[in-house]
Amino acid sequence: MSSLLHLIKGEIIRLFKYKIIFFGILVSLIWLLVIGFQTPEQAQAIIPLLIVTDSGLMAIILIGASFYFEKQENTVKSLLVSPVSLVQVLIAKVVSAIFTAFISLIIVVGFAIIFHGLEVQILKLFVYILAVVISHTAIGYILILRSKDFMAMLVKYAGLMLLFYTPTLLISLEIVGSNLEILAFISPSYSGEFLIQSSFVKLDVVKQLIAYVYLMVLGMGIYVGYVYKKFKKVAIEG
Amino acid sequence: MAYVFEVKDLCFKYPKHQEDTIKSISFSVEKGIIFGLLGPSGAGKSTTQKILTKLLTGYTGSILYDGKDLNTYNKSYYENIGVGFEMPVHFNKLTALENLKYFAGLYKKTINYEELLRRVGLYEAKDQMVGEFSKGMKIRLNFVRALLNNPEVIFLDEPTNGLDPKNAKVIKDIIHELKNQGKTIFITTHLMGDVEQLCDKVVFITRGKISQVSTPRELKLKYGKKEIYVEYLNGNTRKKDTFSLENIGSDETFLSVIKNYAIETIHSGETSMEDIFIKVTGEEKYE
Repeated sequence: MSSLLHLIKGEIIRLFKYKIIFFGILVSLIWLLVIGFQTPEQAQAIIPLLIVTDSGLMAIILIGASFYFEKQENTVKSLLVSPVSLVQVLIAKVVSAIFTAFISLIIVVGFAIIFHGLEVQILKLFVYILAVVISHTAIGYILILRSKDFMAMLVKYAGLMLLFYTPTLLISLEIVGSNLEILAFISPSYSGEFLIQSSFVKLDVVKQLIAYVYLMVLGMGIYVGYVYKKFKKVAIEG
Repeated sequence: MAYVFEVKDLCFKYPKHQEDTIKSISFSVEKGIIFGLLGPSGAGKSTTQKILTKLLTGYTGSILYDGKDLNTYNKSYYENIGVGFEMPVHFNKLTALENLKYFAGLYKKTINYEELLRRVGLYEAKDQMVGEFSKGMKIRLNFVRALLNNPEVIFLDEPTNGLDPKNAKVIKDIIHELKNQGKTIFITTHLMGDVEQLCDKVVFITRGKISQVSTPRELKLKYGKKEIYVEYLNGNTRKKDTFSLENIGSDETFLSVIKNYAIETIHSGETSMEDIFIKVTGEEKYE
């Protein structure tokens, strides 16, 4: 347990040292500008999308940057010959992504509460954000472990963004009827957005449950079935 | 004889490769020795080291560590071994001390690494970002990292490559001290000078197979010529004669030369480790 805490502490310190957290906060501040120019109703509608973008999709970029920094510096190799398990290493990385997500969440939601007086179920929001981060970082690791470098990962990431946001676009533009909404839940970003939205407004509890279980199972499944098997191999290459 | 490692019929193939990188090699590493794993680039040295440090799995054959199957060891194995990589393995945006503190925090026991930093000449730079370090400084920091947990078995990949002679000597002196403390040191290097000065036993790997197991001394005896070459002045003329080492003490010509002429140089026919490397591995060039 103490090794895990030490790893988590190290990950968080490096988020600051490598200015990854600074980059994350900068993006959150841009969202504040976007929210600031909206009416409270518009802000409430757009915030779930921004939070999922920030905590989910931006997390992919941040863990990607962190992974390639570490690969370039060969520090993962050094870690893998230390008395820590790969599970502990991965948990520490997920926790650091959650930490980053919480910071941006506090900035964005805090601003929305203060500036627009929005009401939000904080605890629910924090619980749901876990599912968003775990599922999105897991998908992010698939991109990372299948890409030679950060640029190659970004190209795949662009395609992923398009794929994930398509359901949101199709439904918000009313190209797809609400009777087909359940299919949109396949997109982790759509499911995440739904969950975050439910922290602001009352939404179908069954759908919340489906979305939450889906994101958690998807995230954990990818970590256990793919990331755990591939991480070490890719990390020690080169 | 107590063995740290007993490797038998070890084979390993990378998933995307057509043939085995390691082709049924067997060797043993006695406790408390400095063991050299030598060979040209791509011969399989690093792969063997990665297998022994459990970075690579999926091999066939058997590896016993301290008499037990290596596969039965969990992460506690890393409490007993230290690994020094050839390339820098530190966070560039952390200081040397922050790096060492971070890695030291993963072990149950650690050495006084500030003292070791002082010994390898990095103490003054301990609060400097590793990214600002020279190549030599990073190599020395790697060495300190490998010894952080006071390991019983130390793997060192090219420990002095890129170091100036003074710093290389400091590292080699520490390696000798570690051996004197009873630790086992596993070195992979292409620097034959280091092999000669450090290793008690060497294994040459060529194209995934073992081509020679010996000691530096035995190799020199085997591949060297049992001759000595004497250069001397005969009046104003410089002459060079070759004498067999066999019965040199009763060789009248040799005794006459050293007694009656001004000797300029005497060399033995002992071959260099570089030449032995080329002969054993069959490689004209090596890195």
